[in-house]
Amino acid sequence: MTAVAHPRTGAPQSAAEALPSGASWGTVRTVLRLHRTALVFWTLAVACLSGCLVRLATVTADDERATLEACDRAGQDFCDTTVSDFASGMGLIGLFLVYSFLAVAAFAGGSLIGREMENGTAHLAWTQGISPVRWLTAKLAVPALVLTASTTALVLVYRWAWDGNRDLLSFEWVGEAFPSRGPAAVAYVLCALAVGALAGVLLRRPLPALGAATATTWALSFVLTLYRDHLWPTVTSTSPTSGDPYLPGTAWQVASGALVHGRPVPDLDYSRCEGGDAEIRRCLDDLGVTGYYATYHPESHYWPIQLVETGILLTVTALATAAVYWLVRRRTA
Amino acid sequence: MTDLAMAATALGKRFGRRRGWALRDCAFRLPAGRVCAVVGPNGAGKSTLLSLAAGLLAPTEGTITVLGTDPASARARVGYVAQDKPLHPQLTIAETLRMGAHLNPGRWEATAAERIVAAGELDPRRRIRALSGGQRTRVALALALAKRPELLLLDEPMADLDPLARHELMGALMSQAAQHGTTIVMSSHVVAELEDSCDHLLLVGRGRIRLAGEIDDLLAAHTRVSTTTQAAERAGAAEAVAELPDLRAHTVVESRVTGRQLTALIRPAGRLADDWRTSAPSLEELILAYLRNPEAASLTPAAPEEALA
Amino acid sequence: MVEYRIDRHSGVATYVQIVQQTKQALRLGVLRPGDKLPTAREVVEATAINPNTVLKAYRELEREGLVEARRGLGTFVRRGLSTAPADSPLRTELDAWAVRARDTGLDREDVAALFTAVLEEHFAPPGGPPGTSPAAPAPRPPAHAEPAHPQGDPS
Repeated sequence: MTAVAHPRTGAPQSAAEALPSGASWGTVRTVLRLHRTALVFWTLAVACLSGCLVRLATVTADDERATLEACDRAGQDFCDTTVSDFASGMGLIGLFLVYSFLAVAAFAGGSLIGREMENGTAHLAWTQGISPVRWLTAKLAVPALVLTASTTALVLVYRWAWDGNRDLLSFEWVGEAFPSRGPAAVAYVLCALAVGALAGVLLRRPLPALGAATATTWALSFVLTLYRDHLWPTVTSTSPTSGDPYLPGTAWQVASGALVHGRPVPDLDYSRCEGGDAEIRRCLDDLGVTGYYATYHPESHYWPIQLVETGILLTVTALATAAVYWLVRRRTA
Repeated sequence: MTDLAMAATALGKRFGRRRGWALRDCAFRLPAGRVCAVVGPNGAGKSTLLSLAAGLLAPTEGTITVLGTDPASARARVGYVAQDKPLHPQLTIAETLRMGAHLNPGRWEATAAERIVAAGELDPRRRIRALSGGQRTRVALALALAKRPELLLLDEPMADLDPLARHELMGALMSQAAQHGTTIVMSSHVVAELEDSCDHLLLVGRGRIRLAGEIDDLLAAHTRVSTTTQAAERAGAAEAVAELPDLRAHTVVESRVTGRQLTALIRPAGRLADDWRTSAPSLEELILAYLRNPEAASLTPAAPEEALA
Repeated sequence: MVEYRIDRHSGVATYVQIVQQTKQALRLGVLRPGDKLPTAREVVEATAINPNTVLKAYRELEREGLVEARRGLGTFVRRGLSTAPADSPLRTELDAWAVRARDTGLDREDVAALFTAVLEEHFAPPGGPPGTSPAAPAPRPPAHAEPAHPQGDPS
């Protein structure tokens, strides 16, 4: 058409093609603003848990020690040490820390991705200067950084509270709160983020995505907890018939049983051998029991198991992330 | 050859195997600087077409070119407003515009957005959540216009607006086109809404492009003819109208026999017999005739040039 | 400055309305030589019509030698349109004819139809797409596809 009335503006075009670096920062700021509520909530939760840990490790722990000492000094026979505020507090916070991934999965599947897919605001972003892939990168990277930093900090505080007060802790180094003192805790939240994002992009509606993401990550954590003892080779300790096999005090016993002609049989019912020593001896001989065994993880397996679990979680995270990128790339131009 | 704002060849999009084709065999060329109406009934494929052009969907087959490149590469230079005007409900208007500035660095013209928002007497501190449909449309248009796009894709832009806002925003869009040569593509199922503002037409029906070209050319390529001679009686049934000796040479889009009167909308391919009265169809008549007759041959880019040469 | 009023139901092509209203403004002296026409942007902002329609109208006015486009400045009126002065013989004759028409019992609409028909017969219709001429039964050009832009679109 007429050139006079339609002067083509060339300047912005070349500026846009140069891809200004301001775009990334702008995207980061946008993501932070959009999810400000979630960010504030998460920060408060992390600060609150850290505060509780610090209080537990200092005030509560010292009080408890003072009580125990007073009890000792008084020479009482029974000091009530079964109910420990410190130990139960640590257990509870450990669970919070471990299962925080459920909240992350819900957030990622719901408001981070799913809601944007449903109400079209994802499309709104994709038709600004941002490509869908860059949008996804911002949506994943910003929460990933926040989650990694905050969870790492929380784990470090938790470890500090734990290490300084082991004398007050009666529970084992394994158990439900196992990941709370190592990198697995961080891996869990990152995995939840990736799985949530995948569910959001796949299902494109927040509620189903939220449900699918929390269910999937919970199932993953359930399976990992169930098979955690298989993540690293166990140590077996045996003993002759005269005594129980030796286990270190902090060992995590996985299995135990009788040795029948040297072979471990976990479910042999040798308890029916009753009576005097000789009778029992004969009964056991009849059964072929030559000793007892116990398989366990010594505390030195803590880190290998942590790292294997972390590795599995990060692999799932990587697969979910690859899948979500593949999906977004395939669906859009 | 003029620059092309949009071009498609054999373009098709299918959502899942069971749901069939939303759009198929689409071919058209839209020169830059035009204001193009994408018209068609609901569900015809208008939104799919605009989403493909905006790079929100990948075509199942064929290609679509936008501003001389693929939609993904043109993203920064294309503005798009979806039918439901999605905006983040938790942001205020000012924050929404700031987001636009963040996501369009180097292109953003804040004053353009603020002017459009101010024309609607909207307080920038209000949250999107609290806005009416028409007010959201205004903010969405402000967002799309402030990035100074070279191509603006608007899906049913005027649906939620009252007549006053419609006129004012359409004026703002036309002013944008006049000042910056922006190509504007807007869809609607209400022809009258776009008739004055558009000079180019893409008529979409049942997932196909039925008409594509300059509105003036399309109107000129068609004629309404009528006769009261025996031709009408000879025709008897409307199906045979196309076979009438007088009409055989032309493309009959639609025909109707009422009593002794025969009327038809045709694409003439030469002189008509003298006893035929002719008149020019209106745009609405043309569009309705094509939509009512899905089997009538479509008129898309390859065709109009030879017809009008 | 002239302000265009677009009547979408008039059946007259939009650009023809602009041409006609500009000419009317020239006749009435609202626009005088040297005056600037509103820019396409100003027109479309107020009327929400397509900018190319305005440009087409301005090209038509330019082709008729009424206005000229000065690059970068705008479109300016080159000459006014001569109206037959109020006391010209032509006007007197028309006046007498109108009186006779009224006396024979014709009403306003009859006279307008008659006048339009005669007008059609002696003057070329204002350049518009086929069918926009108001009188439908008036003799039409031979029935064949007319070129889209009678004045030749430069694009």
